Amino acid sequence: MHLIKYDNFWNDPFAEMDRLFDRAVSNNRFAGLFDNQFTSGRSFRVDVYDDNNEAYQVVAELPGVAKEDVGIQLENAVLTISAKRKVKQGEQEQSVQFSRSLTIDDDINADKVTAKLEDGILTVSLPKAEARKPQAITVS
Amino acid sequence: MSEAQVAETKTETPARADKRTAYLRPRYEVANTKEAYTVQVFVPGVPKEGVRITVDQDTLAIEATRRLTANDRWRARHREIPTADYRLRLDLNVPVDSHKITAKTTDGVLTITLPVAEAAKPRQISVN
Repeated sequence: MHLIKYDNFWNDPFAEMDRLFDRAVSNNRFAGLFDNQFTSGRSFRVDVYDDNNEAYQVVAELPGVAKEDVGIQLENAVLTISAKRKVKQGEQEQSVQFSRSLTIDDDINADKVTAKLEDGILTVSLPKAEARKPQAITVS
Repeated sequence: MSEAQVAETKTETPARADKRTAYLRPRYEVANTKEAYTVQVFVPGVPKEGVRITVDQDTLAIEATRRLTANDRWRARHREIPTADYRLRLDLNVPVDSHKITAKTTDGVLTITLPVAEAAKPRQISVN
């Protein structure tokens, strides 16, 4: 069981403020200055989308990470993406590890989760459970 | 300024609504040996076709365009990944052999190899 305090993007009252701040400082002329804070640290950037009420799509930036070095774990409503980047410096080889946990809704059909890695972008599709999809009810 | 001049300046700047003006400076690493410099640029989301590299004398310019993963059906719940193109300009302080520059992309990392020009390589001079 994971306890996640800050990544809960639906319940965090400061998330919207953070987002606005990020948008204000990172979009135009300061973009270059602030790009490093995510890409060089122990974390990586993540997008979460709702795909037409049928699935959640989690997109993560993982440049330089091979397919076999990505680990995806889903426990209850928490998705954990861990990755390892191998850095070669001459003869030596180092590896840098990243990990990030996100709270997704608990209405995921865990058996049908798929993931693909393309050009350093990891896309995890988490289909919603059939019973939890919004249903149109006709009046009889 | 006369009216004719105003009209002229307006036509000189065509409306480019689709062109994004913000650029991201990607993270990069430079390693060098006696033979060549290797520049690794981290450009997640950029396919092979989206990279443009130009070398103009002592400036190496890299521009890279992402392929967007999201489509119209996806509603954003949480966003961190910027959609801006990457742009990086590096000054080269060593003459490189611009005809032998090679580049490849693997897993969102662009690797550019810049061989040092023959004239700039260290040479050993034997004493007669």
